[in-house]
Amino acid sequence: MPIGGFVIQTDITNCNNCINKLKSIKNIDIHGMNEKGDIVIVVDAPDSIEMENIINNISKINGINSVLMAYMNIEDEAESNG
Amino acid sequence: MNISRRDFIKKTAALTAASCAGITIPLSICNEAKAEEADKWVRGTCRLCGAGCRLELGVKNGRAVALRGVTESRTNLGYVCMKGMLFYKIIGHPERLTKPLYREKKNQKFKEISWDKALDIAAKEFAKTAKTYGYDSVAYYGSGQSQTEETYLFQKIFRVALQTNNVEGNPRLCMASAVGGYMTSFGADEPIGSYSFIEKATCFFIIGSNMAEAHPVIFRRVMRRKLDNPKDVKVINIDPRISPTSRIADIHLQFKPGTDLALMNAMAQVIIEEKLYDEKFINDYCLLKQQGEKDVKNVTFEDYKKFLEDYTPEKAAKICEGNITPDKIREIARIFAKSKATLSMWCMGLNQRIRGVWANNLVHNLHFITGQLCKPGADSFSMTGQPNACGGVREGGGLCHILPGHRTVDNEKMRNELEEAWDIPKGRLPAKIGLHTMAMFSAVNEGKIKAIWINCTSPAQSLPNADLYRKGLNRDDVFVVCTDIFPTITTEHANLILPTAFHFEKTGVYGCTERRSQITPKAVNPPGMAKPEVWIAREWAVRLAKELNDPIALKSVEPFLGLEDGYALPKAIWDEYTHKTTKNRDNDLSAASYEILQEMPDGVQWPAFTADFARKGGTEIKFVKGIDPMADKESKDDKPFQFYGRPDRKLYIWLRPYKGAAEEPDAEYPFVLSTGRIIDHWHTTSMTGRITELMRANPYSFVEINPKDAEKLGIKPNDMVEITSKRGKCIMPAKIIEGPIEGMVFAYWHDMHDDRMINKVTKDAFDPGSKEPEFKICACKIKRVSGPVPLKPYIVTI
Repeated sequence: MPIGGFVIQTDITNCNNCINKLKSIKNIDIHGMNEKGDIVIVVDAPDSIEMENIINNISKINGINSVLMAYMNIEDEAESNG
Repeated sequence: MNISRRDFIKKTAALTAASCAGITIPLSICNEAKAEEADKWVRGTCRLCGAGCRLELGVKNGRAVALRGVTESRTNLGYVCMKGMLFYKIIGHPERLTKPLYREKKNQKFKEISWDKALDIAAKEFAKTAKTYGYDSVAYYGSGQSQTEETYLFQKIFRVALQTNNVEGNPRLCMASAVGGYMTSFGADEPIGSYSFIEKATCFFIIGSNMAEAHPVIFRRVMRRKLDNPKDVKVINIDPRISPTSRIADIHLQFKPGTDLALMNAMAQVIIEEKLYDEKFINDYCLLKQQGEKDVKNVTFEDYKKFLEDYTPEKAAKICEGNITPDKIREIARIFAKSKATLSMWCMGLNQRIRGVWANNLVHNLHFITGQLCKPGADSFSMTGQPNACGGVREGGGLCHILPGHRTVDNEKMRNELEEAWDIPKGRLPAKIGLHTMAMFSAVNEGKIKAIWINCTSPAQSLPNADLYRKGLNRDDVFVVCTDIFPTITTEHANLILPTAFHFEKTGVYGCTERRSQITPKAVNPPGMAKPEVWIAREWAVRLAKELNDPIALKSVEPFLGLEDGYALPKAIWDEYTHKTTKNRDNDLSAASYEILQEMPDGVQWPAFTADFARKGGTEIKFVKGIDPMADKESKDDKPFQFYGRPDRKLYIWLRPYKGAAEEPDAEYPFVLSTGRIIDHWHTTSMTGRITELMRANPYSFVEINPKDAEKLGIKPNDMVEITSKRGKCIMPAKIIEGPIEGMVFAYWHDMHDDRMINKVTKDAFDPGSKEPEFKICACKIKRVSGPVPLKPYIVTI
């Protein structure tokens, strides 16, 4: 069950809309934003494939420019694969 | 406060991400949970792309369990892309090669053998071949993904023990034109500035680079700069294809592929015509040069102006076509010249061209005539494709014409310096330049090279016109050794496959785009019997010297005998490389010891020849007195910039005419084929193809077709399309998209499947200067062969 910390870069004029859309996605916690339109989220996904799907879906939201990872924990999955 | 371990990890994730974005969020951390965190965090560099992002691998009970970006790193400021995030999955992947494999004939099955036997076979074959057919019948083909210690040691063994300069690497396929451009324009290789220029630039001139996909973390910085300063920062994107990079551009110029040389000359014409040039900078620092029939001649500024008369915006717009108009050319030329700081960034779109060196020269020209150089934010900055193309291959002597420390093979004094450094007799190092990549694999085809060592790369898939060169690799009279972590298309042609340790399973240094060397220490053990390449090379060389009955051959590894391979061995190699071969060279890394590299969050930028300076991070801007210690040391006058690359201390403005592609479309092959990278995959997918998430995201190659062309040819989305050139054909699904300009198709080059391996179609013509092939342009025809067909991703297995 991987957990990832991401920074989502948005067009500041669209930031609130993006936050509203992010709120509708399962397994996401929104932790804050800054004046530039960067949003910090944490994704807690059942597996890393689902994590990838979530990130892909976030990338498609209108107004979101990029999704960048800053932290990833995969130890449960690494152990179950091993 | 009691929180669960899972909550703790989530808070850590949030804090780390917030730290990157400069956001303060109040979170308390539970000490009990912290005790269960990774046993250790090992700081290293990402394995994929040339950006050099720093990250930390979390290790628990000897297994890789977590990753985090390094916020203090000046390369990535804590960010990592999705591809980088998932590379840990290669560590301990079940399909890793774990035992040496051998077969005498290429139609036989591989058998597992011991390391002793494998190294004996390799030594006997290379020694026998060299003694029977001469030293130039053997070759090494390496990689911009090998660590510097590995490239350095392999090239030393081939040059000292086997006395050949047949030492090449896959950066020939991606960065050689950039090297040629820097060498001919500056007299010194590699960019002058740093990534830190991104936050100071007011104009980005991005040409021939889809950095949004190829270098996403660097692109984030460019995008951030633009978003923070939407009016003051201009982004100009020059690309015949609309790519994700184009989306942030103020101006995107789309043109007939291969005509950008005319465009850049036209920009220079406007800059001079409208007197936007920096006369003082030109007078102080530049000479004008033109290649004559026999030699290079000096020309005057008036000659340059006259030369550019052939490239007025009106004339160039007719050559370039697409959406380029004379007014657009004038507009971008004015923005480029008038900007407070213009930063040009490019990659394979300029390099992989029949006139790649000239294209590089023409970007440099724009900076020279406008003085957009050596000041914060202004630079002519070539992006690198692979993580150690710069550090290992360009600096470490990994090409057939260069020696470690930015020396050249054809310079006797430089060869003598290395002979002294390596304690071998004067005259031992061969003076003859070796075979460049395309010549090397042609020689394999012809049976002139009879033993080749291929390390950490897959030329059977990555060479242009690949089928032609696979024939040579398949000859039974050509002995092929592959050192790799996974089976590849190339290991299918091998006699001997040697399993190697992966990143974080060994210690070594990568040098990224911005002259920055960064260490990645061993964090976990390699699987099975896999070993670091430096151990393999050393043990092979000992046996080779014995087979050659040549005590001088042993000198290539003598200083490293008996050293433990996890740390002491690569450290000794790094120390020899930096102290004995880079000292007093422009890429002086003599102060960048393993100890200092490990202290630094983001390594050291050369030149750096005192420990105190290295601890500050090294040289942010080359050639500037007061910033670059080499500029102070080499200073010849009171000018602030010292271009010490060549004795005359001058930058060369080259008069380079527009020349088209090696193969232009015609009636039979009416389309231009271009190829490139996508965000989810790395090179030949031998690694990323084995990561389920990345393979699911992009399971096979597509060919992008302009909607107007698709309509004319009756091609619908996902229809199967045959792409044919004079060399071969592929069939892959169509993506109908406003991406490539009309008349151009764009195929993803990573797919291993024989039906979709686009390098069967690409052309093997190469730049006469850099010898880099023109992957980016060839003529082809396309036709619909069927509707959508279910496809499966394909990965080679043994």
